Amino acid sequence: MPQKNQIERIEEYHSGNMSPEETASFEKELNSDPSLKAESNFQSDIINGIKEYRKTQLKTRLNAIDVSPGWMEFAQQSALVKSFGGLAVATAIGSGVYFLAETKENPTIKPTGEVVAHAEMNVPAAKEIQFELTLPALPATDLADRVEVTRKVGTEETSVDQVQPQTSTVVENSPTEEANTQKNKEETFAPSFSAPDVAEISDNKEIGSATLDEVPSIATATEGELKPIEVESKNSKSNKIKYKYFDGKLFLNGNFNEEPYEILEINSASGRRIYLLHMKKYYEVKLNDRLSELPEVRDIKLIQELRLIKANK
Amino acid sequence: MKDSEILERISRGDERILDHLYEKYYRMMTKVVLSNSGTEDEAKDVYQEALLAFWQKASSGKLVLTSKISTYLYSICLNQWRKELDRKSRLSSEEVDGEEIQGHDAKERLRIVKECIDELGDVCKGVLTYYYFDGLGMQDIAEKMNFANTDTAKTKKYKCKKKLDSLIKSKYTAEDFF
Repeated sequence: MPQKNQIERIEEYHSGNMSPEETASFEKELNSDPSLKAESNFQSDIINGIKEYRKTQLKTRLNAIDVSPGWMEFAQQSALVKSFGGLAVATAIGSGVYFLAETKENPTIKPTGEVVAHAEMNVPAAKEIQFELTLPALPATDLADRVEVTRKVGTEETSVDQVQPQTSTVVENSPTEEANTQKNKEETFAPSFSAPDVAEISDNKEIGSATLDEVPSIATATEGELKPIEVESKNSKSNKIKYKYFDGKLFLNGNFNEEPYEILEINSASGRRIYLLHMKKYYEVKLNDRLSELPEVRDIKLIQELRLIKANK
Repeated sequence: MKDSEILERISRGDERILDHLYEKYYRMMTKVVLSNSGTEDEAKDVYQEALLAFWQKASSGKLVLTSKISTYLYSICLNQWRKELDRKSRLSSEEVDGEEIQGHDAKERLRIVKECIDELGDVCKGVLTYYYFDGLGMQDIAEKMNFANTDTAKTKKYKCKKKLDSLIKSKYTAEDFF
């Protein structure tokens, strides 16, 4: 059994109260004396245990303190004003969501195969909404045309390999809705989830089997200010995705048979950023004129942001 | 209250100052974590760890403060959260099996030590934790515990520690650690 003196030395050693010279000589002793070493480890356990015990005790004390900001704090930091501002914004967003929820009720998003039936059924509903919101009304025939076109795209697409579920977001993404969404969600919410824009497609007179590949995944965040990117994709058996991106065109080469890819286009004042989601992984699309492997996004923070944007599409 | 006054009271182990500081800087410090992809719970955890690290240093008289208390706390929070983010990204990229087994053993020993402390009386708990965690001197411990003098504090500390040692030793032998 070590003497009191020895235990005191061990304690001094573990609490960092020894001089460098003393520490060095004590460590020499530790290495040559197994029983001293065992006693030292034992004391270290105890001291750590006491420290942890006290920490838990103090944390319990802290947890009992009410940290919700009091009225005085509100007044001091003029947070009161801020919070009313927040309330106003919340109300605005809330009512926006309410509107959206109402208008969204009918145009459900369904995989491409079922679009045909839905698109037809939803035409009257979409017409109603447009009058209700008194936004630039479109002639009924025009609207019918649009749906017609998209339907065509939808059905013919099924035969093409890279079927994309977004192609079916016909009514949801019609320009009027888009404007509505933007207004309600504040101007700053530029990022939108990639989906083909009906207007874009109907304006494109070249739609036919030859150009079908380029139709899917056209994002419309800035409503015509920026030309949406064109995507062309080919299927390969490789699990790696190769890509080229220049001049607003994106060429993809990958295994999209089992799961379609989704494209997130983020347009902000600082420029455009494009991300691709496939098999639950995010990839970043950069300007690149030689076919090369698409780099996966590994930054956890960025991935979280992208998930958020996707969830808020 | 001035920083110097706060430090002086912490050095005497006045825990009301801990409450005061905790409340005062809660929003400011948790923001570090909240605005860097941390949750409310993580933010609270980081702040508590930081505040207790500060408390421990200040109460044992090992702290030489060259900045304001708030600046000091803020920098600990920032560092702690950086470390935590680092750890998280490492965990997601590789497995650490070996460490886990070692950690399990240490955790088990820690559990036993804490259990034994729980068996001690309040006086022993107080004396030992003030001495080993808060780093208070015998004079401050005597005042806090209402002992007649520093000698009583010293004797109590010695006896309590001995009692704890033997309690733990008996359990360690039973669990095959020693």
